[in-house]
Amino acid sequence: MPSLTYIRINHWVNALSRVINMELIKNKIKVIAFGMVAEKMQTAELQLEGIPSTDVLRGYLYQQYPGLEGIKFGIAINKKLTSGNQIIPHEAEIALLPPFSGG
Amino acid sequence: MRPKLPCSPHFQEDDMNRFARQIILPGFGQEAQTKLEQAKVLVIGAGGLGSPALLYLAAAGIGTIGIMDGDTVAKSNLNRQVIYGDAQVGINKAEAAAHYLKSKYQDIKIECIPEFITTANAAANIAPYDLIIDGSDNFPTRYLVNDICILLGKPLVFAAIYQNEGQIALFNTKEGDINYRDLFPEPPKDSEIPNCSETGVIGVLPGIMGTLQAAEAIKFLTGYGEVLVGKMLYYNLLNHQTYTLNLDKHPSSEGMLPKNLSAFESRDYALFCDEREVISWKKALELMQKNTSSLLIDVRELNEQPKLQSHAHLKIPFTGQNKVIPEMQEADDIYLFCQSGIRSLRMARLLSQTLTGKKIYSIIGGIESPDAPLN
Repeated sequence: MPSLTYIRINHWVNALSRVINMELIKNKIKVIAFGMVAEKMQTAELQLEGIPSTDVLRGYLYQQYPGLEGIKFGIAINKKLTSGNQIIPHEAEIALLPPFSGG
Repeated sequence: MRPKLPCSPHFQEDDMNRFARQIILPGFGQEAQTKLEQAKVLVIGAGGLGSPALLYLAAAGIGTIGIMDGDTVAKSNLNRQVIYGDAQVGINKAEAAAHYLKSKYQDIKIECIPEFITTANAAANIAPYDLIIDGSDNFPTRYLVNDICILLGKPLVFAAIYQNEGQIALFNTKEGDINYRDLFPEPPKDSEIPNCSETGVIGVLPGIMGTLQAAEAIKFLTGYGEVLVGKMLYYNLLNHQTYTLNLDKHPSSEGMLPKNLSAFESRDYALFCDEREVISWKKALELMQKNTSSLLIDVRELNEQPKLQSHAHLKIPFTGQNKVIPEMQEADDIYLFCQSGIRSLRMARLLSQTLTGKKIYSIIGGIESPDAPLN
């Protein structure tokens, strides 16, 4: 039989890990948009939750902002430009970076 | 009032030197100044970015400055292209900028190349220089300049703007360095590009970005301070926010580069699109001569320069709407041109939706194309 103290500790550990897990699942991220992407989204900053990867993010953005369809942009995670599908870490700062051509 | 301090003879001598104030900077000195005097820098595009870059490069004493631009100064350039004034409207930009800088300074060499850069003239014009500054205003030129700089091993100070935002980076300082294709391996499709006369700009933004280009060039050439290698700096004029992006090699970038000079020369940078939709000036003029039932249309705004004088044409500014007029319905073939070939391509695509059975072409490179029949 486990002792009462063990049960109590175990209870709190489980409760704590549930909270941590929930936070992880939520995966809050900050998205900042540049140039034509910000223009099409009509905002330069977003807070999003539950976006695990850059592919999911692209899908979400195209769905929420149909104006972005056909607009080329790169995605940076924590100020690092990525290529291909990448996992978005918790509380990441994401930047949506279209090319500029003007001079 | 502060008393006047007596100057030492040494200081007076230094004060005679137009570079005195940068030579006395700790860590800069005569050594860095000598490097600038020996340096050869080519500025491609003497527009919103090129104007301030040229002014500061010349002021800093870059020994040889090349100015390459085939465009002429237009009245609407003057809010940002600060090297020109009313008196230069209608004059070639490279010539006007060269003339001005030569009148300011006698101790540096100014080389004028009054041409647009093309795959045919790029290698010969870039080869003599140590560093290239991209002050162009369109994707085809940006990719062309990026690629030739890699083939010839030339460092490239890149900058570009979009409305109130600017970006700047230093590419290709050594083999294997980051280049523009690591950000975007392929050029955007024409539909992803805002057309040249659509986007507005407050002149200060290219002023800031072009000045930063001059700063990067000076720092790189002298080894003074840190440069934007492997990084791209973003600047927003509206809120003064900056964002420094760390760049990495893109897995597809290498494969997109021309393998050698002949592959570069045979690549068509102006062409992002379906070959059935576009045509060269040469071919278009040839076909128009053969078929009298063909129609040439200028889709630019009525005030845009230069005007086409040599061939009869209609003027129908592109509005984004599909506007069909009786002349179009009567013609067999329709040839559209604008400033650089972007608006005309969009209009060609729109017209193709309603005018079925006709050949509708957008002329590659527009009136800015070196093949345009302007003379």
